Amino acid sequence: MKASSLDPRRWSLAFKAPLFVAAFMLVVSIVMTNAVLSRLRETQERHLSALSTIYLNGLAATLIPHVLRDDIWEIFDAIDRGASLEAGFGRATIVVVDAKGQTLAASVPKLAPVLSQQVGRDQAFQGDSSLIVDIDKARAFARRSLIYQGRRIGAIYVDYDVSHLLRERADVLRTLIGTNAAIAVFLAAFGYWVIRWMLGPLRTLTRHLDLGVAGTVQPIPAHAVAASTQEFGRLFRRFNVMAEAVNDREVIAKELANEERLASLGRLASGMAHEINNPLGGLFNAIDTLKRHGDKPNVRSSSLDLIERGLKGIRDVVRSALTVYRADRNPRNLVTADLDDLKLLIRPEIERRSLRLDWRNHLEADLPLPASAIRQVVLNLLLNAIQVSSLGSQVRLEAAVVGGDLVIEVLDCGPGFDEEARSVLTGEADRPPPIHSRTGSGLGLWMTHRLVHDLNGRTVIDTQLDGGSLVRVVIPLTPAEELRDVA
Amino acid sequence: MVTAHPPTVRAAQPFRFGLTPVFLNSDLDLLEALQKYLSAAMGTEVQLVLKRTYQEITSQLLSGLLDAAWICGFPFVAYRRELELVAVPIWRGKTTYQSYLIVSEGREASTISDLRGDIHAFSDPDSNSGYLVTRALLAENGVKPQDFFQRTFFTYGHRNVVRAVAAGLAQSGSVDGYVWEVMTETEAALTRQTRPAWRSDWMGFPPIATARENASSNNIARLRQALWGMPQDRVGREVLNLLRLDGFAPGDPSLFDSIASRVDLVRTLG
Repeated sequence: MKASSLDPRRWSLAFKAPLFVAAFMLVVSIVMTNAVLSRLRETQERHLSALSTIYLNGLAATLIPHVLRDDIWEIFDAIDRGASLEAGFGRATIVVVDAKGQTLAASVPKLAPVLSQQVGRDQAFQGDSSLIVDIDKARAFARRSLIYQGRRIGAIYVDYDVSHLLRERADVLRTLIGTNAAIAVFLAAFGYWVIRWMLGPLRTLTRHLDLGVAGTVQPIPAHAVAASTQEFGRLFRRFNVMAEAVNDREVIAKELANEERLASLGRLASGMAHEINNPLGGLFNAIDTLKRHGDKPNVRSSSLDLIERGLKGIRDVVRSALTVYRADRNPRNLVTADLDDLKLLIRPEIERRSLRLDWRNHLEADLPLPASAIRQVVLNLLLNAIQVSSLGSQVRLEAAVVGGDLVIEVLDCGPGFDEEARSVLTGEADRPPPIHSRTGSGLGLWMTHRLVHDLNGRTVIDTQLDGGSLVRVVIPLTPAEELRDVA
Repeated sequence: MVTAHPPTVRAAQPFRFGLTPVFLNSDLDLLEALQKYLSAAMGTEVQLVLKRTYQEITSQLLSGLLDAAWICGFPFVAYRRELELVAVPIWRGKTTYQSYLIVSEGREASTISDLRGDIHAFSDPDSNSGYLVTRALLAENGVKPQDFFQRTFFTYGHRNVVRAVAAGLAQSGSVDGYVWEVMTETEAALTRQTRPAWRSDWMGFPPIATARENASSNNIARLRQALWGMPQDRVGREVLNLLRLDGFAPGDPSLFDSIASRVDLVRTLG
């Protein structure tokens, strides 16, 4: 469980709303149950009181003549028969006392023997009350004075078993809890369904945004827009407009990147022309020398030697250029020479800026990586390093296989990457390609990031103590498909 | 025939036979069987008259409102001159019974002195076994019930005495030994909560009596024959079975001499 899932503010609406409904129902249930139970209690006690009064009146009418005569047996006989109550009351305990509070007879004489004092029974009753209900003992206690010709000749105390009334309350409580729980569960489930249904368009939007991260943003289909509510319809239409703009931007960025590549190609071509032009003067001189002194064997031999070296130089330069820009037509594995060729391509730029090139290519065998993509990445990084390095400083390349990864490091002596260039290159934020850039290298970096990303690699930029930056590209040698699934 | 001899006033009156719940357990089955048997055996309509106390039965018998009644030995002795013996029941082969002092089961008591200070239940002030015997026993010691016991009361029924002692309303009671023994068969749950602490000597069983001036009438002769012949009749045997009696004997007034001496004792000593 993530820490965020403990924070209620971050819980899903589809969960929160039913929870709220359930909590609300709980409060309503408690209030309702209390109200119902207290009404039930009042009703039961009112009925019990009425019933008790009727019962005691009947009993008193029977008992008064016997009490007047102190006829213990007849009193006992009457209350023994009268103790068995109907309507769930079970057997009552009845005690009849005389005016002095002495027991005349009790339905259970062993609990209240004849002549025993029962004054304590009156103390439990407050004021003139004639009924007490003791919930804990599940019994009700009632009293009635026996009045004859205006004089009190004794009293009856009755204690009823009221457990059936308490059972009835418990039944009502159970029924209320059951019913309310069922309603709460139903409402919570209904709330969950309603919220999920209402938030359906949001899920559509989220899905399309997720798809957009990987590549082109997919507009929401027209039927989904038409089927949505007014609010979400507007949102969907705005999203579609935005998706179109983003996709256009992507296309433009690609075109610009291409143009950037062509621009650097032009720059390289002019360098190459210079490279070719240099030996050309020497070659024409050699041809001139041959024309004039070709008959001298040592002159002819040295001139031809010169021509051969010049032509070899031209051939190497042309071959490198061809290899770089034959991209993707014939994908093959990366070999050591692919990187070494780049040295030739950048030499004019290195010389133009009077830089020293420290070339440490430790690669030996073929690597299962697409040659053209890696070359493009390294070329972009080198060109960027050359561009930012101050005149006369050093640029270093180091390539090696470490563990299961190809690691390429390019060190420059420039001012370091600004924040924008850094985030473009490392892909720290999912951001659109930079259309404008002060240095003009933004698109090159963005292309580099996309290429590294496609190869499941990652880019790290270290700032050196003496200024300058170390760009490290790490590309796994494992087949790309497996990693893409994990990513 | 009916038109030739119009019925006399006497013949139109049913034979009135008195009973008290002191002795009988107001058993409707028994009353129905007894009424049916006597009517058939006597050849005349018999009306059973139930009164609450012996006193009511005795006074109605003496005043002629009843033709005969099943009374107790005590009123028979008390009104010896006005009453004539009709028959005496035979119980367990004898015409005698005992009086019991009963206490609740588990209580230690074997003489009446163990019962001092009790709340005591009598059955009827005119009952021999349910009052006179205990009264005489106390008189021998020179005390009266109201001084010896904390409190006494009458239940007007031997069965009620057993109920009172069983429930704990009374701590002891004076009861007819025959009734208690019969109840051990019919209501064992009740008698099991009590036990006889003391038994009297054997005395004459409560008799069936009639007013002296009525003793020689035809109806009384027929009643005697009906009672004596009870074991020979199917309904009669049913009645005897319900009463757990063997039959009825002519009896002799001397059977009640021990009761008479108790009456004398009580009169002398108060």
